[in-house]
Amino acid sequence: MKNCIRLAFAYLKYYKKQTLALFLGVVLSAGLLTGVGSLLESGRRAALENGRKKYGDWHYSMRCDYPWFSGFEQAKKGDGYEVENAAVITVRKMIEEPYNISMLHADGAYLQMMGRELLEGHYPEAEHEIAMDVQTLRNLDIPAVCGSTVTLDGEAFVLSGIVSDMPEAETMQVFVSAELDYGTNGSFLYLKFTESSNVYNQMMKLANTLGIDKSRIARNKINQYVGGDAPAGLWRTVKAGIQMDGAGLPYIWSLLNQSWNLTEKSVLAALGIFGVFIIYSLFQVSVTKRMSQYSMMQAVGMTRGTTFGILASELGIIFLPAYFTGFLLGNGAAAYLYRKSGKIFVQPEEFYVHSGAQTAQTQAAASLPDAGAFHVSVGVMWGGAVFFLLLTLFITWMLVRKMDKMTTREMMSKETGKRRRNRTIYSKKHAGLTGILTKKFMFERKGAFIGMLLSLSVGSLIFLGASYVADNTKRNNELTFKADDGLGSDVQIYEDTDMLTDVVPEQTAERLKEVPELSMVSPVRYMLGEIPLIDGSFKWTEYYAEVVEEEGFEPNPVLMEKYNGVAVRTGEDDYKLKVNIYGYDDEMLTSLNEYLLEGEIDPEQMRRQNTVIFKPLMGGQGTYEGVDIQNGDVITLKTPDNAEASPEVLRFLSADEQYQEQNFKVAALVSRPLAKVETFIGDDGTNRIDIIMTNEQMRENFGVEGYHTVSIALKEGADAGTAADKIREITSGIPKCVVKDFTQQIEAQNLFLSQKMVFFYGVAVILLIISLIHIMNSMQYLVTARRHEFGILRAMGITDEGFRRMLVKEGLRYGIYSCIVMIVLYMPVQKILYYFLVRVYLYIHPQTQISPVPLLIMSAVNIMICTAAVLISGQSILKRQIIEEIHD
Amino acid sequence: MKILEIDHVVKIYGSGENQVRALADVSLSVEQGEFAAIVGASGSGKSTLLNLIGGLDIPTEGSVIIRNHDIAKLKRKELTIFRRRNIGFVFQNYSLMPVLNVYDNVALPVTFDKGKHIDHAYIKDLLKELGLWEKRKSYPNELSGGQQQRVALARALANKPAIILADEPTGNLDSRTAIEVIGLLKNSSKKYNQTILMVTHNEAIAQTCDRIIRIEDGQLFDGEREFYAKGGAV
Repeated sequence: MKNCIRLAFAYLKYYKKQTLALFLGVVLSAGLLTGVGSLLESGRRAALENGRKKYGDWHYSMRCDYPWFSGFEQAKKGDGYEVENAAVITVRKMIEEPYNISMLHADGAYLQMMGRELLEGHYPEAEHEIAMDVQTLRNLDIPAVCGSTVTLDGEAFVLSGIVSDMPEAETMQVFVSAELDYGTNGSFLYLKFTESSNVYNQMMKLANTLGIDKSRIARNKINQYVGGDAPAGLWRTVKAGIQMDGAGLPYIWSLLNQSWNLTEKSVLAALGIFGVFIIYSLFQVSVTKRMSQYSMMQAVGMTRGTTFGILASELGIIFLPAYFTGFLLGNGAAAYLYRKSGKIFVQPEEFYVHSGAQTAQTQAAASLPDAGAFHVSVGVMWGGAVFFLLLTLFITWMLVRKMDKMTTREMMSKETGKRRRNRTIYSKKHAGLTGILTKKFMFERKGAFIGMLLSLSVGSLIFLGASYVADNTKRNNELTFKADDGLGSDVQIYEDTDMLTDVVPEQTAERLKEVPELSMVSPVRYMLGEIPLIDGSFKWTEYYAEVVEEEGFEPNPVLMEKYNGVAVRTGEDDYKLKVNIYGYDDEMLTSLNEYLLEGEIDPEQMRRQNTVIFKPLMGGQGTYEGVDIQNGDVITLKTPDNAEASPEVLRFLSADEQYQEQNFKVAALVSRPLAKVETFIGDDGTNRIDIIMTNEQMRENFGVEGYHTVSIALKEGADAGTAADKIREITSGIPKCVVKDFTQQIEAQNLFLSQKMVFFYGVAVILLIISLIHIMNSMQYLVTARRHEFGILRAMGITDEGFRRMLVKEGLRYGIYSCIVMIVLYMPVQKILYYFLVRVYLYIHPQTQISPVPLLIMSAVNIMICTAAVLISGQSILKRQIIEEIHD
Repeated sequence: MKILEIDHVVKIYGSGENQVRALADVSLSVEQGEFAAIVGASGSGKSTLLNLIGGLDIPTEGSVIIRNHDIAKLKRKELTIFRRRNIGFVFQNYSLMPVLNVYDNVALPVTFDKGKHIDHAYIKDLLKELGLWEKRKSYPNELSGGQQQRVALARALANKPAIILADEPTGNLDSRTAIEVIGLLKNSSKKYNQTILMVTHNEAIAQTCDRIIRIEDGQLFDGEREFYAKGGAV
């Protein structure tokens, strides 16, 4: 072994360029893998910490007023689980007016678990003492001073303490003493397990130990980061994906992704495999160069094991310091990047627009997550090292095996002796033979040639794939953002109401248009309607609890009460579905073209022919086949017979004379509405059918005069504060009218997106650089491997220019062929990526066409690099004496 | 007529302590049509001399004049073209292009001259004369050593050069094939009135040449009686 290492070291010292190329290849690959791994790990940890702040630092909660609870204290630590923290709350009373408020008695551990502390005063001790947070006090209009009187449900309390704000919860929470008892208590246990091992397994073990009903255990949202969700069974998921109608790969992927974070692992695996491929390619070039020397040593008695030992030692000697260097560099760069723009690696919270209680500033802050500290991913570091090492040994074994397959003579002459020869005499047909020589050199060993082309194109392929995903991510983010708040408006005015009568008057919208700071004012009219879907034309009935009638799948009680549900069954295969009807101005309608699925959007024609745009339901796999309505179909729309319909009429159960029915031809299908109204039957952009028409049609068809929302864009450079003040002034006095300034949020989101894009492209560029090193090295090998032949050509009288011309031809050929391979491979790769973007990640309208610009750029880069690499290597040939080359 | 004149040529490799004086003040002239053998022990400088004559290497001092051209003073491109048109090489390891068949290997040097028409009739004659016509579509690794060296010879003759430089052309061949190759060289020299300078270790082969040039430790002992012998058909 000592001799192997000594010999390996000697080789590395002698072939310095090869050693350096391999060293750089490992450094970059390791740097990229461990750096990205640490970024993702840091993002995940930050998301977990943000989650703890937002939802509390616990994993599971359950009712605990059962007999098993008496044994809980003794069972906190058991075989395979350990409860790190536990808290108990007792709900003393639930109040519905003026808000949903829970009156709780909590132990100290609960407050600590929820990240809440006593800011002032003391925790309630006497029967009529109460503690709450400032936000709740504000909502109840009570001064935030200890000793204040708080009246809840007709009962007076003394404010004994003020606690910090509560994490996200369905109801406001106030704390009372243990003395207060209405006799209808419900106790809940909150549990936090140690996070060093799988949290879900720990919970299951505790549940088994105590006999807790597993179906009644609630989970915290942070569980996704600590393995707290029930893992999807691999075979069961795959089987269900194959057997279930319409499930398929997206179903399998999304379930497994939830359990095993497949997206992140796929990215890391792709980076790792790419790194190994590069290392293999660089090393095999180096070994092939020295094949004759190994054969010489084998001829004098070196065993296969020793050959393996030498090669493995060579790789090992390079790998260890290179991996360590790459790890340091990659993590150094990652730490810097994370400090600068760590937010882009943290899974952001959902981007809410219409949530009345917050200000735009707090929303902007809330929508961009806190990045926290940078964490080195030890798992990826070791995992990557083991992965690389194992594959490195595999590479060595493959190379030794390759040598075994060749005879010693073949290795010495670097020929396999397997090729069939073309007997054409080229000099009879061609005046020059350099072109023929180039071709012959290339195709001499077809396997090696194909391998070379594949390795040349793989970097570009990954770069193209990454930029395709990056481009579409950008497009998807922009379109989603735009669809969420209507044209990405800086300011939005909306009626925070579910009354059709509460509207922004038309003249107000006209006055807004006169505000000099505004560049666009797009008012939106709204009406609630119902469409019949008969004879099985409504396909996705299983998602509507009100028509499925399945135990445990209950319909939304509010929607049932106010609108008699979204879907109503009227016959065996007949249904009626509530729909949102929007009226847009021409600018918004034109903008809808970006979301066009079918047909044509022409506002003028819509007005003339009274046609509408139909926005279908979008399924969990990005499909729009929930209802069988196509472009050109006629839909029957039932609406209240006047725009001031009472709430009761919106249940669509009143007498027929209260409604009108009209037929509309569908002129186009779109994937998203703009400027949604969420206060009636709701609309997240995908889960409701929307009918869109012009504002004029809304007036003529339904008599709607006022507007429900107004999307406003500011002129460039206009002061958002001043503009918002002017808007507020104009809209003051309009009941339930809310003005929201999104400028900061948009700015923050745009910054977030641009940073994310920079990261995407940054990774793609590093991949490209790695593959460029590989191309340079491969091309250099190609040239140096033929030093002898080039020496002959020079001795025979080829001029330096002629020689360079020949090399340029070869470089061009390699460049062009690798481009062809790249394009041919890219086509299916893009199709697969497209499938995943649409079906799994639900991107809106990703590009289906292969964009020619990146393809052309990558082709040009490939050709240039191949040519330059060949020329640079060729220059070193020209510098040497002809006779040296001939004797090489 | 003098075709080659070497005047006080010195060739030094390396520098400082590693300096090696490969040729020391060598002067020599060769007549057109002469078939000269350069003999000497390994490392004596015979191949260096041949490489300097062929313009494959540059003298440290002195001049190498071929057909009145001081090749050391020619620019790189001029030297390449001059070499292509005036000098043919035959190497010990044959140095054929493995990816080209016999015919294309022979035609290769001619194709470097842009616009120059390949004289296929001449190549055919050459191949026939060297007994390679039947093997014209074969690749070098399908030929025996003697056949490969004959291809190398045909290639050296393809451009009808004034001088053929042969560096141990029989070094890798058995004695019978070696004699055959030397015969071909001699015939060619006579037929085309070509000057042939051949490096060899083999005293017997050297004795068959018109002239023997002996090198020892980089110094030339030209025309000394004991090494001189009149050439003739073998």
